[in-house]
Amino acid sequence: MPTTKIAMTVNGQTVGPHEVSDGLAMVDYLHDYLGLTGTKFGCGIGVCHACVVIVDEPDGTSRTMRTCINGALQFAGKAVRTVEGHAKDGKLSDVQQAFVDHFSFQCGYCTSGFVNQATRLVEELERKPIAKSQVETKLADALGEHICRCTGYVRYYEAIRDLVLADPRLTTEG
Amino acid sequence: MRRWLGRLLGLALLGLLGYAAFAFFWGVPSVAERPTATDAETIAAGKYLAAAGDCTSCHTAEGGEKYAGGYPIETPFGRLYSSNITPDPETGIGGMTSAAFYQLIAYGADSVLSPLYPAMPYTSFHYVTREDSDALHAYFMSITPVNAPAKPNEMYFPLNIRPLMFGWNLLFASREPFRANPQKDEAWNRGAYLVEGLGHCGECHTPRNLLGAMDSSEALAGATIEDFKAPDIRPEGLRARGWTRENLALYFKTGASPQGSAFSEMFLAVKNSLRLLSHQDRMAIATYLLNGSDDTPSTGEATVAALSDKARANRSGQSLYLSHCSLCHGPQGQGVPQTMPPLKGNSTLAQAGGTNLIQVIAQGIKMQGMSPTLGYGPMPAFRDRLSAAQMAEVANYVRSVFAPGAEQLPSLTAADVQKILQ
Repeated sequence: MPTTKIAMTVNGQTVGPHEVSDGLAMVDYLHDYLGLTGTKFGCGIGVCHACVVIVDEPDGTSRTMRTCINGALQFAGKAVRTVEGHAKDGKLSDVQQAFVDHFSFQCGYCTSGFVNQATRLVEELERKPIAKSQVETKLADALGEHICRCTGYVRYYEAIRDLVLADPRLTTEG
Repeated sequence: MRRWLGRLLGLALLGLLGYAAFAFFWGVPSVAERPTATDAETIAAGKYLAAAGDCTSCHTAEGGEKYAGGYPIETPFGRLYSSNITPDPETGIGGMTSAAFYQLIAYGADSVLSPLYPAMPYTSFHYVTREDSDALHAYFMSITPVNAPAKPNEMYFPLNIRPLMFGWNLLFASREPFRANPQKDEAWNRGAYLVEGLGHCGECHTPRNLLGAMDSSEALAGATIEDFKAPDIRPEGLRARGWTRENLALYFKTGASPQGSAFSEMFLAVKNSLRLLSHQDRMAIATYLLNGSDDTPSTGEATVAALSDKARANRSGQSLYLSHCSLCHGPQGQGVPQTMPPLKGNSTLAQAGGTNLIQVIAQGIKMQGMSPTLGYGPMPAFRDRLSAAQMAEVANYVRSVFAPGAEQLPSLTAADVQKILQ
């Protein structure tokens, strides 16, 4: 298999250059080259979204990408955030803390995906607040593709809904 | 006769005085005193460095207290016993200053009368930075003191006269500090620091001369240690035996790899040191040993950008297929039964105009579920990730290798793609 030399930024740190096989899945790159094992390999076919990471675009927006179906090459030169990058100085991020406070997860396998997706959502709302009445729909759209087999989703949703509604920067009245 | 004897004695005395002056002025370079850190962070850093330096393998006797010494070291010049490096004031290093600690690490001597023997690898540790030495010192001062008197060494005459070591040091012990190679990247240099310095790999893997000094012209070329051979770990030696960077890192982590498992002294090095290191450091060591990194430095936005431009520019259709498509459709286009459609023999690819193929690449496909257990997709959209030219390239690639009757299909251009997507 052909190989390509790649480098990128992961959680603010420059990594690489690494010579990787062109067909190397990003999740395997994170695990085997960078030692970042918080990103989980779930279904392997892009359905469960456990393996989602955040990709920050140069224009200040960000999106999530699945790492099981996307090769590491696709992330070359990009700024990536994984679940390892959220806690600062030993303190969990607000999203992480909300999940803990709401007992959102049991086995935790889907958690890193939920944390990344919810973090991206909260950041989007910081840039573009939405009306309080739209929060439920927005949540379902954002988190709807993430599969969790333990808790039935309710506690993940409640955690993020409470977090969003409690922060006046994220919503507008209405 | 008597006069000759007198002259000889005088000469010997002069020589002795000369040597004493040399030992006094050259033997123990003076080092600035620094306070011993007691904060948890420095102590933790020191603990990690102690693992990287594998202090325990020699400074702990079989069945003895950790770091209390007494481990026998056989040399061609007699038997040595390692010292107690717990902070016991009577028998250990209690009260030792950070300056004296650094003198022992880097120069093998903190006093003119009792320099260390080079079984202590100061012949490698001179590369250790003062900061790292101070962190090590802080760590050793923080551990529980153990009262364990040192066993006397059993060295043959005249090597049992310790100050003779200054002469040996002058001949064989470098005092060079570590200098990063600016031609190499950060990982390579970190690896070099660990391998040549703190990790003291050469102490086993570099052959020694008749006076027991490492032969620097044959660095890491392999040497005999008692019954076993510490193998050649130069890049060409490792490559010839099938090692890759990933497998070396795996071996350092687990003691086993497709190239074999660690045994004897190397097992101790993995168990007590290498497996306790961070993944980054293990990769750094592997990078240095295989000289496996690019000449361009790995840090800095510019490098990332340059490399990613290069990666993008060089993307052939095959590369694009492998990194964007193959993780679902399979490297051989085989797909996943009842989940991802195969591309091998896929008739959509064989439609001459390529409209459906290009539209699917650009837009993706929603989940096509027949029943809870049978469904295909969903496929992501690549519109915002691939340029028209790249879509043409990947389309041409999948058509040429997977489409039935590929030889009849026209090649698509970026303009064709733009037209389809209008």
